[in-house]
Amino acid sequence: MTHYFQLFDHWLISYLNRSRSSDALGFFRIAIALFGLFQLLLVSDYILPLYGNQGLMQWVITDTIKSSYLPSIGQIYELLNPLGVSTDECVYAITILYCISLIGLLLGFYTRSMACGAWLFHMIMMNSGFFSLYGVETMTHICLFHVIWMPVGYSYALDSRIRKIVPPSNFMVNVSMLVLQIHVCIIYLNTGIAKALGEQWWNGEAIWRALMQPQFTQFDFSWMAQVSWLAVLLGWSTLAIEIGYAFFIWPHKTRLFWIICTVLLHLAIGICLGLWLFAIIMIIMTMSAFGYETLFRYMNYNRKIVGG
Amino acid sequence: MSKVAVKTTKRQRLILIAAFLYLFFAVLGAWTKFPYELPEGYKKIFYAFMDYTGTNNDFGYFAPGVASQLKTSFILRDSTHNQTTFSFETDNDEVNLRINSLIMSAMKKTPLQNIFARSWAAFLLGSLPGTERVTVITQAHIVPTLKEYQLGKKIHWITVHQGTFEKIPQPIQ
Repeated sequence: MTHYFQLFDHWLISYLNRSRSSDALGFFRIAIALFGLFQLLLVSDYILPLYGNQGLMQWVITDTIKSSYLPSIGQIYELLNPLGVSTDECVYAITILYCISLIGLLLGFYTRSMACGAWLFHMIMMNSGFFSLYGVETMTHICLFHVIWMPVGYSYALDSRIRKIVPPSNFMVNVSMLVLQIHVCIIYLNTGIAKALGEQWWNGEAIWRALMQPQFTQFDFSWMAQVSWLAVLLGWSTLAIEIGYAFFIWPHKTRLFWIICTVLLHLAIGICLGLWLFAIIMIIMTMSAFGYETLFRYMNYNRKIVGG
Repeated sequence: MSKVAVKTTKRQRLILIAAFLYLFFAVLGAWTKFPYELPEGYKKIFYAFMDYTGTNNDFGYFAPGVASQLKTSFILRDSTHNQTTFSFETDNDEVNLRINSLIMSAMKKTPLQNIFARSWAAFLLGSLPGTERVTVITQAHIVPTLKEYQLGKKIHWITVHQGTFEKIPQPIQ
């Protein structure tokens, strides 16, 4: 037993100390920051209805019902109220601070502080509108937590050019990539298994029901009732891609294929269900964890072949 | 083997342990009820940690099955008994998704249904001058199975919650 532990330890330490560029982490930082800004821009006209005290969820209700220990805009307002800050000003202030943090994160300028700010302000906003949350906010929260501690501020960042920060160690880059990769696998495996436990994903009903819901309707899919085998096939394919992700994304031989399948799955979710933000953030996670390095390796390999 | 092991510093070992614990909590959050079943004091600590780090999530989207969509609409009546309808729907798809998430979270559980229906009615009575009565109607979108649809069964809406709220006349001072 000790022998196997030593072997694993040896493999892990040599794996974590191998030379590796932090470019994929730089890509992750930029993609998440751009995503956050794009998301903010999309809902910018509806900030008060979504997060304000007199919006769709009044603070007195959300702050009473929520069982979470995360701060909310309502709690921040309680602190700032003696200074004469109104509820709306409080909402706008948090939103602007979130936006500034994301811009800083995008540029890689004081990256860690900006990442902390983006994570904190996103969390406050998320908690204030938690009844209207869907998967996209959960994923954004996870990604913003990762960019706090990962060395994302060196590649493609102003910090390395203006502030001349030292490059991250191979160890930190490798640990960061490994944690991100395993976490993405946990997410896919969990969602895949949860789906597989329901009958709807095996008999095609889940695909049919999702496509026929007015909130997701992009096209008329009523014709699918005549080709129900297609709904079954799509359900099985979703299960295969999501459960298989945790296993087939690791071997080099199947990695590129699985990345392509996963990206196609999310593009299909975007096109057919209109869940574009969710599709984009899942693609960002896969591309950062596995896709960026794989694509570069693949492109370099092709370049070498073409170049002789 | 030992040569390589010696190269790792204490700091690196601590980082590895932290990374392992983080992923361990992510697994717990995804597959178990942890920390809900812990005694209150421990629960608070773990709950806060997992909330802050994003490990307190399962990812069962559209799982184990796809639930029926809910929609909430409002019938507004003024003092002359004129009736108009109102809904939260906007021309922004992303905002509509969030509104639908809100309605799904708020109206699927009985205790929350009344709280949110009252809150929305109060909001409309306060913000739309002349409105004296608001009827809040929540409906579920029922999709027949593939086989039922082939046999001609139609998609329809059924009412799952309805409440009427009126403005109480203020006593003349």
